[in-house]
Amino acid sequence: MVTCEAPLLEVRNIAKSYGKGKKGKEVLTDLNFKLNEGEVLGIIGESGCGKSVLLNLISCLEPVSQGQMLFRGEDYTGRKPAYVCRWFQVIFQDSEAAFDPKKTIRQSMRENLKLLAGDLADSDRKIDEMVGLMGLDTKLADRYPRQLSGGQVQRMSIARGLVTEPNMLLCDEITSALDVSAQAMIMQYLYQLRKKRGLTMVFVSHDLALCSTFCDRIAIMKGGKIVEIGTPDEIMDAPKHDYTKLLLDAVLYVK
Amino acid sequence: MANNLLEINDLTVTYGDFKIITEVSFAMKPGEIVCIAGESGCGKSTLIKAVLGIKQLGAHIKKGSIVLDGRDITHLGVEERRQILGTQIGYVPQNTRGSFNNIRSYDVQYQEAMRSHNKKFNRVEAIKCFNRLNFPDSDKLLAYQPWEMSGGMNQRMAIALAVLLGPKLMLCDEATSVLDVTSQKEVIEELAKLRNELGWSILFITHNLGVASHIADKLGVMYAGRMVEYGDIRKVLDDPIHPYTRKLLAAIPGKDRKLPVGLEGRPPLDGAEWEGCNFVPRCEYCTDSCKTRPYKLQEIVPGHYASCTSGRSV
Repeated sequence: MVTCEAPLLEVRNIAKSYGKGKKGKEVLTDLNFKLNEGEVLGIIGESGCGKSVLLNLISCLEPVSQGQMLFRGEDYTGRKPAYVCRWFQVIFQDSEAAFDPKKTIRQSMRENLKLLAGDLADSDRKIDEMVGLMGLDTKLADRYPRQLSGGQVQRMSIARGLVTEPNMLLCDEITSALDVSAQAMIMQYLYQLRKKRGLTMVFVSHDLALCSTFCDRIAIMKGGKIVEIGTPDEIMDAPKHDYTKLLLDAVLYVK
Repeated sequence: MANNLLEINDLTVTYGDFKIITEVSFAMKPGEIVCIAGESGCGKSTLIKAVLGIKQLGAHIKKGSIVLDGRDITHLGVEERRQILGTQIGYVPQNTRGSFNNIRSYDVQYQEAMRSHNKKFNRVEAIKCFNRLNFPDSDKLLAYQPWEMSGGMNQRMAIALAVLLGPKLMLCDEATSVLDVTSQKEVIEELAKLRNELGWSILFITHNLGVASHIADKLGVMYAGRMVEYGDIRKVLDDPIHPYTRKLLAAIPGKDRKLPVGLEGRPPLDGAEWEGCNFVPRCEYCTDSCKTRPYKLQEIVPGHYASCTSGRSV
């Protein structure tokens, strides 16, 4: 395979099980997908279907039980999280918990830069640029996490992920703790980011309506398997799998 | 007005010096589902806490009254309040783990709840009730402990307990917002069914207007402690009057698969920054007079109230 044609991320037959022997429980079985540069993949499924585990595997926070993961054709299966975090940054649902409560946002972001870029030269400019890109006042970066609203902390956490210029963002239910107006704000800025930087994303959510507004492709997960994958139009207009139909049926649009 | 189940008149609630709810009034008829929508921090949950009895929760009612079925319950004592909670007012919290002790079986906890309300616990009744609500495995459910259940199932068990206690009024505080879409739909359908069968009245707090549109008869929109719009659900959703309601509607991902439009900023923490409308800093239609014109909920169309009509397309 020629390297330059390789997709940004390729996941081959990965599986994950917890426990061994009779007590073992397989939570992910035989997942395969490719993600091209600049593409946004939405992953949808109910609680407990293995969405978050999948992100943990991709970012090497947990070891895979089986299978391979390739970044631009390079097999990185079994690497340490420190090795892959320059490529991938994970944004979690509860961002206030992801920030150190005793540090200002700026101090937390410096930590990231120190760890990944090695030098802090120009750190303030980089941080200000990212905070600005997320539509926040740069003065807010000098506050503590608890002094910001939920939506603002979430945007700060995206900004923190981006200061080290990763190739890809892994978003784990980033809007489900927020109310609709803050959620819409985040989506707007993520959309801007895509337009300006061509950012690649894996967007995990349980909200099919939200994903259909934003993602290039949507994968529907059920019981540790991807049961259907396609563009939003394919998924929404012509769902093939029964579970997809069930999900579509459960979306409560404003009548 | 005598046949209203719940009447809230001119209610003002404060935490210390902070006004959380300012002059909110509305009434619920028996068998009605009223949804209150708004962003985090607008006072939706405090409204429910006020109805439940707020003294233990740190806030107090400055002004106004809450009337349940013709009886003023604004300043009830602890003992009197205990008698109406559960049997007359039921409550489903947002946190699905909040209603039960995680490591004791439902059986024990159901018994305890019934006993503390001086009611007899009957397992057969309980199982009948689970069957009516279409729970899977209904005869085994009582033996489970909450940690073995999904969040959605736990929430439904809390609703079932409320059914056994038989209240007239249910208060649901974001009861579905931590659930995923499939369980959310199940819970919503259950509540609607219970209303039809038992004639429950439900006060449903949510920030999701999609949920509201599927269940509610009336919709109230709150902003920074004030009710800015109130009316029949169809009227409010089809012809939103207040600029904030329109913003809220635009923030919901719709069927057209267009990116939702957000609303910058956050509601002011202290409800009374100035005399007039407190949506001014985030409003695109505001004029100088908005800051001084006192807040008043007016009947714009029969059965449809709003405190501002700026930018309304007619």
